[in-house]
Amino acid sequence: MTDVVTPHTNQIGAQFLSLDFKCDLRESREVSRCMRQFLAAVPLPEDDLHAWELMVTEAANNAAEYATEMGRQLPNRLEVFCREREIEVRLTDHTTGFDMPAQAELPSIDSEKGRGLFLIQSLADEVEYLRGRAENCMVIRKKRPAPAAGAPAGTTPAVDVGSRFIGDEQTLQAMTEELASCYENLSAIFRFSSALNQPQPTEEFAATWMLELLAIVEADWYVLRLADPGGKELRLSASSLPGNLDFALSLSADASATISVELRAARSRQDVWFDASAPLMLGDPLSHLVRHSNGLAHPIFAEGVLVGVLTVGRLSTDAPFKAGQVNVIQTFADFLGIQISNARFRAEHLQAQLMARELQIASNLQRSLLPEKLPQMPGFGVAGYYHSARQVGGDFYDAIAVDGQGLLLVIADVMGKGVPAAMFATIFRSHLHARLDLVKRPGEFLTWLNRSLFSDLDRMEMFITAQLVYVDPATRRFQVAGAGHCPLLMTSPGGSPIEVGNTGFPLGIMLDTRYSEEVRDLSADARLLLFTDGVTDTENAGDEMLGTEGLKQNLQLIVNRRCNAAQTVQEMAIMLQTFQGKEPATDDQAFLALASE
Amino acid sequence: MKTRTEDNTLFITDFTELNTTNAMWLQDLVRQSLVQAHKIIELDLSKVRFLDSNGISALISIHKTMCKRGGKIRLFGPTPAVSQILQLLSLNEVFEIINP
Repeated sequence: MTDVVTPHTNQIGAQFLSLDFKCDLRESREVSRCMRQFLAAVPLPEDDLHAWELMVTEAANNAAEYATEMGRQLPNRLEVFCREREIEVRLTDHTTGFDMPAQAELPSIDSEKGRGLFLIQSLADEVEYLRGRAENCMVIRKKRPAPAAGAPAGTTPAVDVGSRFIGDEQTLQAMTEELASCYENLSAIFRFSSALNQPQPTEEFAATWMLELLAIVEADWYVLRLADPGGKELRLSASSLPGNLDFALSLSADASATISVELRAARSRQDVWFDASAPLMLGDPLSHLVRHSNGLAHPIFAEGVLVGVLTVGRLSTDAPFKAGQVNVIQTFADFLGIQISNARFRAEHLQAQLMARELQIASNLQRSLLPEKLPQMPGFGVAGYYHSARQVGGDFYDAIAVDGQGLLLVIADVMGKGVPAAMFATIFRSHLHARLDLVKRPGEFLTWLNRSLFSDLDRMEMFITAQLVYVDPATRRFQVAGAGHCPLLMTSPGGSPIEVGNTGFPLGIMLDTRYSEEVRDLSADARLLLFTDGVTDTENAGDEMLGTEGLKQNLQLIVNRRCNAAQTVQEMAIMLQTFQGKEPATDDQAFLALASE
Repeated sequence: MKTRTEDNTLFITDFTELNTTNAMWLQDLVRQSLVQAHKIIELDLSKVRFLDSNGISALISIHKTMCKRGGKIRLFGPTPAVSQILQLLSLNEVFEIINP
């Protein structure tokens, strides 16, 4: 152990030390001794000197022990930076590298290995491991103890630092380069971070910042591809290469996934490197443009989801990126991932807000269509019920008193959801009120409504089911006509519900449809129930539908209690809510009840 | 490094570091010096100012060897630097430590 360390360069000043040393266990120990001497002159207390000596020994031992065959021929490098508040040591190795755990675990008592990293992490304040293709760099930082009160500071102020370095141009140059590099990286990252909150389009943002990245890491080209929101393919977002790369790469499993360096990075979720020993494959889309390059394809993730792949390279195969530069590329890419992810989140959020707004509009429309108060006739009560499902549909009911004598009951269901359905319900209602002269002939009324609405409905590929019932209290008869709507139910206390009204085509299906009508007598205590299919389609927790038979049974139970129209509606609503339990309604539910009173 | 035997104890003294380079020497020395009568190996750490993870590995290896023989390892007078490392690695309860 008496060999003197044999650095290729040995720059020693009070603040900065750089040593290149052979990849050898013996030299590892010598280099840590040399560093101790340097730090003792800073000065540092004995505890800190011992901690640094041990940390550097452990890091250098690992670098020597796990060096690759080619790496063994190359010198390892130790750099020590003494800053006002901390010491930073960087040890560059030529191993295959390892994944640094957040906190290395202490091995079992019997284990004779695995304590080096634990010691480093325990003694340091901060440890990073930057991985590159040809080299890696362990960065260890430890705070300097605060100087005792009244004692001169351990590190001389900046002015003095300069004066102490006059005469050692090499050291000054190295420090200047180091500072310039740090400054460039930091300022670019700060600019990048502040730009994250700007509402710029992602593509433009990416292209701008990738050019900055090329300058910082001394790269010649980049290609950025982003995964489509469904994660099925990688699409070109931005590239500095002149050739045409504007095509998508499929992320599905096929042979091309093993050829394209970008797809390999996406599939393996790891950096994929290319250089002279592992060149871009012939079928790789990038190989036509930058065949003799070295660099890496880095997959970008945001919360574990693949966002894209950033590929960065140099137009030569013999100048690999340094570990620090690789770290900058990875950091930029990860920042970008967050930005892209945020942009997508904002877009989805906006879409959700728009949808919520649309539903609100539709819901308002829907409510405005329903009559605030239903007209009443001597001897008859009328009541209605409407319950909106999560997505607003186009159910609609109305009751219109005619000439102070008869009453037109209307129930309709516009196919579809949201604003379009609500709009058509509005149009239907205004048409209905435009021809009140037809109320006593519901079949003819439907025929007219179909003709009037057909072109609009047909163009929108929508249709409306409807049922019109004209009740004449004088004759105690009613006329019913239906357009694709479920028949109404008629019953009386102690009776049994019967279905009345033919169905026919819905409005908007056939231009020349003629709707017929049926005439029925109303008994002294008759009840009519007009409803939409959302009522019979109501499902319970066991996915069973209420169905027409279920509706009939429940209606009869209510009617048997001689409920009036309002009570019937109230009881029916309770029955529906009880039946469906906590299951959300999938369709609107509407019904209209008429009762002889 | 020097060795001497008193009763059933093999004493190893006169070293200032236990690191990657001399950890193997120590293990070789123990292999060569250990005889059936030895039940205890006592390492004099009173002058040792540097102990790294390879030195620790050597201590654990000797500890395991002695346990198999029904014996033990004893560390004499570790310096504060060495005590700190043993404590950090929770080994201060594994080895018998004598603080004079």
